[in-house]
Amino acid sequence: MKLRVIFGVLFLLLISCNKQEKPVAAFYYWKTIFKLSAEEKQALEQNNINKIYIRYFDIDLHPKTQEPFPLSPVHFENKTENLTIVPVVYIKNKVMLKKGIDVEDLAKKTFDFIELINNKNGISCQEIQIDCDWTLASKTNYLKFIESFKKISHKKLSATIRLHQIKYFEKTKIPNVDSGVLMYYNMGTIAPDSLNSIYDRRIAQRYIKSLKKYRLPLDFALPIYSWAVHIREHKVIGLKSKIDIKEIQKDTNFVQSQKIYFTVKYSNYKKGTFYKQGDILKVEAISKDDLLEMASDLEENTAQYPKEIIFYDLDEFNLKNYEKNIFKQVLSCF
Amino acid sequence: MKKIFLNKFFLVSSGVLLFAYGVIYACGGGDDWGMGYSSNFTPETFVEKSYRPLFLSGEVFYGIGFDTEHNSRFNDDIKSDWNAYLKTKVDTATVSHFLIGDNTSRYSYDKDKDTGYKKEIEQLHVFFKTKKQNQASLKWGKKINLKDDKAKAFIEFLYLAQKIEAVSVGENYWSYEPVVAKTFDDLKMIQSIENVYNTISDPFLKNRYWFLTMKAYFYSSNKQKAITFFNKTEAVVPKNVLYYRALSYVAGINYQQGKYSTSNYLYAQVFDKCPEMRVVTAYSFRPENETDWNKSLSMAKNNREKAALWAIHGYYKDEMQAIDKIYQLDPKNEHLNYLLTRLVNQQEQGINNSFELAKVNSEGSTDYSAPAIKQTVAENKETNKSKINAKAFDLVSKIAVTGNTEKPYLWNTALGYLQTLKGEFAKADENFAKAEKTMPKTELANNQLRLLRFVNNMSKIDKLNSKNEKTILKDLNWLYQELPKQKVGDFRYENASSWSRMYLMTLYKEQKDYVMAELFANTSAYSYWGAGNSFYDVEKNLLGMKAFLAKPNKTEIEKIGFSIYNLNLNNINNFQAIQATYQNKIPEAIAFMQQTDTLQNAVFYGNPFNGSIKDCHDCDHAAYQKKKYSQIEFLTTIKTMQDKLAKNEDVYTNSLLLGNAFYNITHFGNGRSFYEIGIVGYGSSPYSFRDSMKKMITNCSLPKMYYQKALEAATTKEQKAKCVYMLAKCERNEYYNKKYNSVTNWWTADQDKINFLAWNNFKILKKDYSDTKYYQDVIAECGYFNTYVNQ
Repeated sequence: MKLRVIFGVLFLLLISCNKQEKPVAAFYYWKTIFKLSAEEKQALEQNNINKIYIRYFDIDLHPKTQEPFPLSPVHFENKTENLTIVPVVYIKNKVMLKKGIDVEDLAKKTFDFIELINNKNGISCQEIQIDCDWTLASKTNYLKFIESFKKISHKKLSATIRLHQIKYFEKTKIPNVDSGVLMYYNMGTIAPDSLNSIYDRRIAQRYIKSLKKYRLPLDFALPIYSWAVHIREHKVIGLKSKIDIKEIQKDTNFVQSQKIYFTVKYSNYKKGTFYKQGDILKVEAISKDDLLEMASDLEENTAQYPKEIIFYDLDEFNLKNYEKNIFKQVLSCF
Repeated sequence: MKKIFLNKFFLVSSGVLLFAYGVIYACGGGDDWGMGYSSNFTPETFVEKSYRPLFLSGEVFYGIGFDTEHNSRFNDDIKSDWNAYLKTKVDTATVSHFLIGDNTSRYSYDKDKDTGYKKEIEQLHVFFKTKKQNQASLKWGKKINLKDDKAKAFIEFLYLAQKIEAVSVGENYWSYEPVVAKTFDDLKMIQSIENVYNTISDPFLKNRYWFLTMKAYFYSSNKQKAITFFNKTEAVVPKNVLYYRALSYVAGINYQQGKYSTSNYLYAQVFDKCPEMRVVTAYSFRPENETDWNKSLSMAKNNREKAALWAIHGYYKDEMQAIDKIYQLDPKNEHLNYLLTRLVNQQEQGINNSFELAKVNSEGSTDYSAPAIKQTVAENKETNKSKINAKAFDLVSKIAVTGNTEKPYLWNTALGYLQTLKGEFAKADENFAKAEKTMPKTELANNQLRLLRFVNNMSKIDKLNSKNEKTILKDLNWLYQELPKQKVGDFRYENASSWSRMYLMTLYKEQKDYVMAELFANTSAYSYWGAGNSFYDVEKNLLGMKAFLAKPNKTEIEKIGFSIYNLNLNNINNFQAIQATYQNKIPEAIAFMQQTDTLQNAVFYGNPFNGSIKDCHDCDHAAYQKKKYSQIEFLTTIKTMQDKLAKNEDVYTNSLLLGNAFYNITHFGNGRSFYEIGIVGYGSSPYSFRDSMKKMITNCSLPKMYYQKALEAATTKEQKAKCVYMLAKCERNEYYNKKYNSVTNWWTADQDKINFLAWNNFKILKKDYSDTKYYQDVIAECGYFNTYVNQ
């Protein structure tokens, strides 16, 4: 049965590959301190990747004053020479939902803050990316923000696009940016059920057909991360990213019940988290086959060929779950 | 001086927590607003306020969400300390000015104002040094005696404190430093601060210079020196807030060095001894693994210290285990209090207060689309009983019985409540009585006890009778009428209020007294917006309720139900008038409408007798109207027209106007306000309405009948064209009704991509009336028809 699936995928690959100009690979870097490990540097070199989208900061509302402010700005402990850096700013939707928010002022502050970080760290950039899961209610503010930001920055501007924004673009509108990045992950809800919230082909299928109608050049972002959902009494109480499955398998405080579930047998502390007896860890990860499936589905449905495939995120922890040539394999599907 | 310590550790770890928090929040974990709505047990009742943020919460910290005082926690302490020290020498406002500046917003872009006081401190320092007057010395010389030793000491202290503050506190949220954490590397400056500490004799100042030295080392690149300095001097330092703040620095440095067991051990001691820092230490306490945790435990020098570790461990960890351990070590330990409230609140989370269960499908997952399964009172109590954790219950029982805790009444109250939930009502009564004897009689405590006794009394009732009714009457009035008007602070009573209504509603349903059940269910007030009230779809119910509402001698419990019900006779008569109208029983409708007090005077937004080509409500509402029709005038006008029609007077006009009138009060017409009342429901889409009402408001057969009549009586081609078009509109509506409105949700409708259909009457209009002026009007206004004609 499994073999048949693999052959199926292979067959799909055969018919869907070998067209057009190939996209290049890039990475998202989502940690608050930019410092590349040996494995991370190696991954960049071996795959000839020199473009990194770095999360510069989040914009959130301050819990006390309810004013927008930059949360945990990035710090650079490594030089970024020889790398093309694209600053990414993640704006929480609640910022755009705030009544009476001055988006022009926010756009100016955001741009100034990016420039400040660039100046202090000797970085220059040609492109900036805005990441915001905007909704119908925040649409007006967000689109205005993008307009203002574009006017102020005079740089290439890209924005992340979620699946639902593709399908319902007539309602959610398309931001006035130079290109978009379709985030092909975070599809489901983080829940105690047996579904994978990172990627679920059944959910993706509901949206992917709309790609052809979308009038913005799109690049694709694919997930290479994994995490474990910490569940207590059928409620999600936390999310543990970068969790080492092998280590949990070895730990006698945990019992693996099904492939993706671990039950806590004895209450214990592990990596600074308290696991109570009876808690459940549900592991959500993305396999190589998942990645190839995503790539071929996207290739089949895209209107314009992507220029870039961006992998989320560059971290040695994620890299060790895949073969070294995984990025090339994925790219070859387009 | 104004702000504090550990910023970077806080920030580094808060990134992790924020992420987790976002997830929990996004997953619909309750917020604290919700706590009062699912709990009968107010933790504030007997627990000291420094523990408040540690109460059970859907957020990281109860009531505050995050640590909101990280930079200002000690402002008041610092101000009052210095005020006491400077007493008559410097006035309070001036002390405050120099310590924290003018209280302007942190977001103020008026930087001069924000930092002005700092420049003044610098200038005053220069003045003390050079004796040359400057702007600040001239200004403040008039207010303070700058020659006074204490005043001078104050300013000189601030001068040094400020140097370190530059690294300890970020001034502006939109500022950026290229390094992760700033360090204070002016080692000479630190040495000079330490020298002042060593030489100064005034104990107040000495203490403060000691802390300043600690702080300076903490922010320096050589943090180990902070620990060395602390160990060297600790013995002679008074054990006040400053001491514990310094001890937290030591804990923070240990954390940074990876010595988690020491760090956690120290945090636990600060948690224990310094109430002001409970939030910070609970946040920072973070064993990496079991070994760390056991090591921390082994560091405890005595039972008190060991208990402190368990106390902090119990926060968002395992309360039960913590209580057990602490009780064994130190039964009188006050940390037990907050842990007990968490345990009780935790047990409450599993309680079902809705008296219904969501349906579970064969795969074992919840089916939210299916209607929930109603429980009887007995079934509900049985499921709730099974939710109480037996171990937790036994532990609380065991401890409550011994009575050797710091607050035995808290244990009695908690046990009594758990016994209520377990169905042990008599034992619960005993425990509440015990608690009452010894508890402090604060308003909150009295309220809490009364509420728990009420919940117990109510829970005893399986079938209502005149005897057991009496045990709850006063408290029901208290819950429904008195408490909502009072300022009750933290007191959680909303849950008991809504639970008791559901309880009574369920009891009355079991006793087949549907009118009383409806009073407590109050379907239209509590159902989701616009759903209406299906109770009134059953005529027996409707008449029963009318009889009840009109009845003069109501019993006590009936009066209570009556007082909380949001509908009255007027509303019901209005509903009957609406129903009669749709059944074309106009004299009946008028009679009911006349019994609606002022409701009959509500006016239509548009003219309900107009028939437009386009169904555009806004246009009709905005159009000039010579006369505004009220609901009663609408009905009486219909009556007049129907009377004329009966006498064959002006048949065409009257039929057409009647057609328009009945058309306009459907979902498609301009007079939706006619039917939008509590019992029918509200909504711009028919899907918002229950099936019986959806059918009533979308049915166009009545207007169709009148338009048909008008067509038959029409004499000119223009008249006929108009009737034919109106009939086409009815045809279209019928198509929609069948295709969309008869399915449950619009998205389940058949996606056949039909976006245009030529109605039968379109065809007639095109074939027979293309030479009329009305035909041209339709072409101009109605895109569909235009499409049809041109296709």
